[in-house]
Amino acid sequence: MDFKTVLKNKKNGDRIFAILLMLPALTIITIFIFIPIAKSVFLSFTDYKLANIASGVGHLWNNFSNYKAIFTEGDLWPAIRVTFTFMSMVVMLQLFLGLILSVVLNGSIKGKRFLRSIIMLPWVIPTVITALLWMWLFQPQYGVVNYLLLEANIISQPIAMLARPALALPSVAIAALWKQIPLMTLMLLAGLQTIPSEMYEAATIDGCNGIQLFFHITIPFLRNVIRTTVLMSIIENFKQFPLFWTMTGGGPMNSTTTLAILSYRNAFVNMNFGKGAAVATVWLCLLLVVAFVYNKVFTVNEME
Amino acid sequence: MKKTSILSYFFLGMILLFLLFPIYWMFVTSFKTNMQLYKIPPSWLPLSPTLGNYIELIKGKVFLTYYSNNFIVAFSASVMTTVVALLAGYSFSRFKVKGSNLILFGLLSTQMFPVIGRVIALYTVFKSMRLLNTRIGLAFALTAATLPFCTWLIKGFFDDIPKSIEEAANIDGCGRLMTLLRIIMPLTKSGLLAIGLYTFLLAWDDFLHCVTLITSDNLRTLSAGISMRYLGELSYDWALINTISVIGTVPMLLLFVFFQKYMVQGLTAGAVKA
Amino acid sequence: MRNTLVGKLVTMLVILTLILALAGCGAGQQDQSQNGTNGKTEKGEDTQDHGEEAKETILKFATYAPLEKGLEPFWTKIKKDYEAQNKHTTIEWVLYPYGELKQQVLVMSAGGNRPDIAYGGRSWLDGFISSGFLAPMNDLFGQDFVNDFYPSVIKDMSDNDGQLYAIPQFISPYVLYYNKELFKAAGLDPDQPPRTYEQALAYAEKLSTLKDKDGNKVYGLGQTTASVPVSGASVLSVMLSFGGGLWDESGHVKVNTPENVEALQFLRKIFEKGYNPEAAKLKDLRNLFAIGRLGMYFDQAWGIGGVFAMNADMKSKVACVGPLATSKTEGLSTLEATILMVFKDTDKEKEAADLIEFIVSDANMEHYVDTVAPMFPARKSQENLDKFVNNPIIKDAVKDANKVKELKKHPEMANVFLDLTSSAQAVTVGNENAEAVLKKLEDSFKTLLK
Repeated sequence: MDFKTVLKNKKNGDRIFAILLMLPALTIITIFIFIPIAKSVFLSFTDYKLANIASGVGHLWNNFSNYKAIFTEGDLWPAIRVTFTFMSMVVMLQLFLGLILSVVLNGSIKGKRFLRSIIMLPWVIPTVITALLWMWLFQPQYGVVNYLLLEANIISQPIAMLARPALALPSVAIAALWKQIPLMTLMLLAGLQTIPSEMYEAATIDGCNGIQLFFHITIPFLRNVIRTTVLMSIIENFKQFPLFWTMTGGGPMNSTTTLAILSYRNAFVNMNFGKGAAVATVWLCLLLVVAFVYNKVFTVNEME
Repeated sequence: MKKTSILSYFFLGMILLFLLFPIYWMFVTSFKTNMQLYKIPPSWLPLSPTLGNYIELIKGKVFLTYYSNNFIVAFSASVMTTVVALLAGYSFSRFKVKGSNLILFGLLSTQMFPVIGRVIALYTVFKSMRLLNTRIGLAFALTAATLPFCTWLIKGFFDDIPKSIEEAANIDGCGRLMTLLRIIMPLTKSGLLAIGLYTFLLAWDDFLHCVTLITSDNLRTLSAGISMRYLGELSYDWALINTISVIGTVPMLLLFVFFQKYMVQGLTAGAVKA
Repeated sequence: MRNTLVGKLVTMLVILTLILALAGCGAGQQDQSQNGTNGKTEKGEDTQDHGEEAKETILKFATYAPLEKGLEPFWTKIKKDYEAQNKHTTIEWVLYPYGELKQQVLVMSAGGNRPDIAYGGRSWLDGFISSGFLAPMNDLFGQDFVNDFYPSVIKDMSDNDGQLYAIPQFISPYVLYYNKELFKAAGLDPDQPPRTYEQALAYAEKLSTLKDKDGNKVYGLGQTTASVPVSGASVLSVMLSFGGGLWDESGHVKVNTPENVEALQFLRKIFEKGYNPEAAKLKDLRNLFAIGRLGMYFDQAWGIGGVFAMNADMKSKVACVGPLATSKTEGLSTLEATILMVFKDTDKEKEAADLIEFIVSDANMEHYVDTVAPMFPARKSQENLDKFVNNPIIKDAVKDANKVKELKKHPEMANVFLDLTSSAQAVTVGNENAEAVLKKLEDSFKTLLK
């Protein structure tokens, strides 16, 4: 009886209905994301190695020694540096190339509908396959990239791109760019299409040239799209794992050991789950800081 | 004017080469024999194409197992995501319960967390729920991973639907759930398709979840299976690797060719509005 | 109309999800029962059979081998033959791909679900010993059986206290494979292969002047230095040959020695002169060797199988010699081996040991070399077996197979090897000073290996 009257009240009914609708989503995310994250942070403060599991001891509080270890062993800072270098390299180039490509494809180019869909192809190629494909292209002795560079006389000896400390990271970045440029272009293109063409016409009559148009109309209009896509791209590249794991495994000389690789290596290669979780926790904090700063910068700019 | 157009054609040509040549090369390589493909200078066309690699791949039954596992997992994940995101997205869009914005923001922020960061603990959670080594467990994990973004996307679609439609339906005597399923849902078909496809794409691409949560070879999905099985123990079999790449890519290419309108609409709608 | 259609569609989807969910759960349970509850069913059967003479034994054998095309027939035969001889024993494979097996078996065992026996590479032994899942073997086998193995090999299979934890099936030091045809083309005598590092350099010089038929460079001497642990073990072999190593006489970490410097300088030399493809994996070297673009390279005996898989014509063109000598040693290497390990507290240790003795019996060893790949035996009584001494590819190196140095066991060994290969990269592609690199390495090992 009581329940029925509650339901009859429209507002209450709406509220219950709303919560019921959310419930499946909240349950799934709580079980598979929130709890694991919380548990992972907790594990990072414990001694949790394979031997502990084997002997049935389980995880024991270990007085920050995982953190002490990762901060003193000297692998952490290079990994942070590599992660940031990779992320900024890929995000900036991707934005730059994506912008040009989308502007070109938005212009009057023959067959642009076809081109727009065909450039999307790399986006649907699975990441592990992307990694293998680029390993094959970069192969020093019989890979096609080395062959072309040799033919063009850019290099005189075949170079193992993925084995040179200075070249490995850029090489992985190329593979990442290859897979990610399409989506970036697609998003920017969608943004460009919302710009009313009268804006351009009016500005052209006022005597603006192409570059002025770009900076005074295109960029301001794209602001929101850029903000979203760049944030998505930052997050994705900050998290990148399969490309590195398949292409370089973190080498040579740790020049491609990102936080992802470091964490995975500690947890699943050395079977020290606590330490792996500690790296992941540091990484999580960094990501939060980056996202926060990024949002702050954008909001401040908007206020101006 | 002329100059810029030549420049833009040049740029377009270069970037098309960069984006499309690798895919072309993957196809060409898969039709060569191992000894042919180590030839330098390479032959740019498969001069004496062979299907041997494909036949060998299909003969090894494991590959088909990986393949069908990937389909099962990706399909279940996208169906689950679509249904759950539909309900949640509608709720977030229509009923402004106290704190619902905060919840949505909280959900979205999980999208930032690195998978490796939680996969260690996810393993123990899976173990205690007896979900380790089950395809449905994997599908749940992948659903959870894409759900926040999909909910947010589909919420945008609901936001575009005027409230007056529901009010009219209400007067006609439709209950809340009926209104959603009969009246509102058909209006967001393209959005639902978009999130379904998006989830399928991400689930097909998954590597880390499968590597850690599935330990039984006959339950593995493609990406994990490839990297564990086909990279060769004693030598690289590049012909076979390229063949697998082709076969692993084709479903995605087909999906994209047939449904690209929806994918593009769905994904860009969110970004442009935000 | 449209609304009902959509309604149907949704219902269909919901039903499909449910079916899939059920199917998935079902499959999962099945799988778990396959993997997880074996122990229980066995125990059930045990009690049923109680009182009867023979009890049914299921030996859970964790291995990658039957997954590999080339190895599958041999292991299927082992299973069949052994089960025919032992009517009440069934071998049940627990299969994981090579790259996965160690981690998976450890995780599985930690979850209370251990196999009875495992087959793997020597490099896995450190991790397995430190996990505490293995059964000590000193009392599991007869003294005569154990004493038949080379002492250095037995030492390497034991923990730091001398307790034996693994029986090797086959062993191999890093041997030098060479391409006889390329030798002829370079004016070298294929029956006079290099015996010392110095000679190898001279041979490499000549080989590297060759071009293949498309005009591509031929590499003279391949030594793996990629970012994988096995490359580190191989680099350590070079150090051992030059008289170096990781520990001094008294067992303290000592890496920055003139001997190790010399070894790294050797690596730099073959890199700078273009004899060695940079930072190559063993797999890369085998591919290059298979297509005739590499004259000589260091590999484990069975690695040549990868070459033959790529190019079967090579079978008649290759041969190998044992570890090369330097002014300090007669040639010395780390030991690579395929090993068999028994798990403790399974109540089936004796049966597992019996199966191991069957696998390493003369007949099965000969059958393996005959049908699968070149291998060296680990037992003194087997080094004169016909199939080994008359195998055209390995006959020269069989007697050198025990030129190996045992390593201390340490759970961090995989990291040690990764650091070793990193330092090899540092002096080659990184162009750093060998002493400085070794000094850094010594500092890091002092904490890693304490």
